[in-house]
Amino acid sequence: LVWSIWRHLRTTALRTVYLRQLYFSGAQSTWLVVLSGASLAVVLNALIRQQYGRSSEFTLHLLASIGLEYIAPVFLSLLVIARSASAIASELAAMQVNGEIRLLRRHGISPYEYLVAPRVVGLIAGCVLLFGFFALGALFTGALLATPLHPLATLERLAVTQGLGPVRAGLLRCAMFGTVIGLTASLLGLNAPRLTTEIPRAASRAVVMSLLLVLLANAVAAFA
Amino acid sequence: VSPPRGLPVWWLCPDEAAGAGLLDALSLDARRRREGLSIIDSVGTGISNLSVAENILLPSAWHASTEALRPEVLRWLSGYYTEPALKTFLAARSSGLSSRERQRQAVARAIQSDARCVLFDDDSHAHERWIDEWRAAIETGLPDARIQAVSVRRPSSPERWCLRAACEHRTAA
Repeated sequence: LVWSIWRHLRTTALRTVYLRQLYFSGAQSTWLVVLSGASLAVVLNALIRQQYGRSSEFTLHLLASIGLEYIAPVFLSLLVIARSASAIASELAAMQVNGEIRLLRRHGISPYEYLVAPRVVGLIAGCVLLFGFFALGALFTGALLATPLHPLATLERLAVTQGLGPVRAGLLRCAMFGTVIGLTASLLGLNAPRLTTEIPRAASRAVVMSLLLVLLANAVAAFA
Repeated sequence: VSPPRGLPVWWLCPDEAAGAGLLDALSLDARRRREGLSIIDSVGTGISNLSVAENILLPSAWHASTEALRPEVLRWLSGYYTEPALKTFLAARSSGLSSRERQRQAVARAIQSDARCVLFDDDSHAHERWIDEWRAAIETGLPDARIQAVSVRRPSSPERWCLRAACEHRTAA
């Protein structure tokens, strides 16, 4: 599979499939995710300052540890499930209904390599990319709320004290959730029966199943 | 199954399911023999979210990492389109084309893949004029290609085809 992906990335006509997926699942949601990260920082800051009387700098530390490691991957997964899982499943189910999958098979093109692999790789890359933007939005807003005049200096101090542990853990979770969502949505869409009525059913099944599997994977990852 | 020289084969199937099964078997045969293969159906099925150029290029890009359209394809298409119209056609999404344009896209795909085996999937139950027309284009553009049609009805001009029953393919296989 890795060889096949590498071969496709080197061919212009096939590379576009990967780039399109990365664009739709990652780049298109950038601003939404940056704003969500900023809003999480504002909410956490307000809650912890008002209810527990702790400083904004403490909130920033909390945001960098718990926020990035636990909240961000689940939140981003929900966003990706809502935007991409249903779209992927319904697109592949429609391709099945229109006979496009059968055409690919008859031409000797594996739908798993041509359709599923780019979507999974695109979703993994998209989730990782979105995590970066979410972290950027959350941490910068948190730092701005803690020290409005020197946010960058506060972020530097935070990087020294916290290290890269939470970011690494968050990235790993995002990659894992991206794989789960990509595989679930693609396989449910690809294996949908050849009936028009199955297209919305495939989309809805993909959303529910991806959600369940992500929550399950999150619970398993919490123990790991 | 090797057809008699000179005449393309018309496979007669008892029903749609047998036709689909036979098309699968014929395409598998062609792949086993490592022949370039192309399938043309009445609606010219292509991948709807790809452009015409990407659809034409896909099988050869997949099997041979081809990066560009062959000059033969552009020459054949230029018989139908002026240069600016050809650019627009190649950039258009396959989903926005008429059946006839999609059939043209499928024939161009056959020429791009330098197909040695061209299968016509006669799934429309309409008059097979479209097959006759594209058969002539394939015979000109790909003179070495073996042409076969799969249908649930007899051809209206049986003298131009070598008529065979689908079960003959199973027996031979």
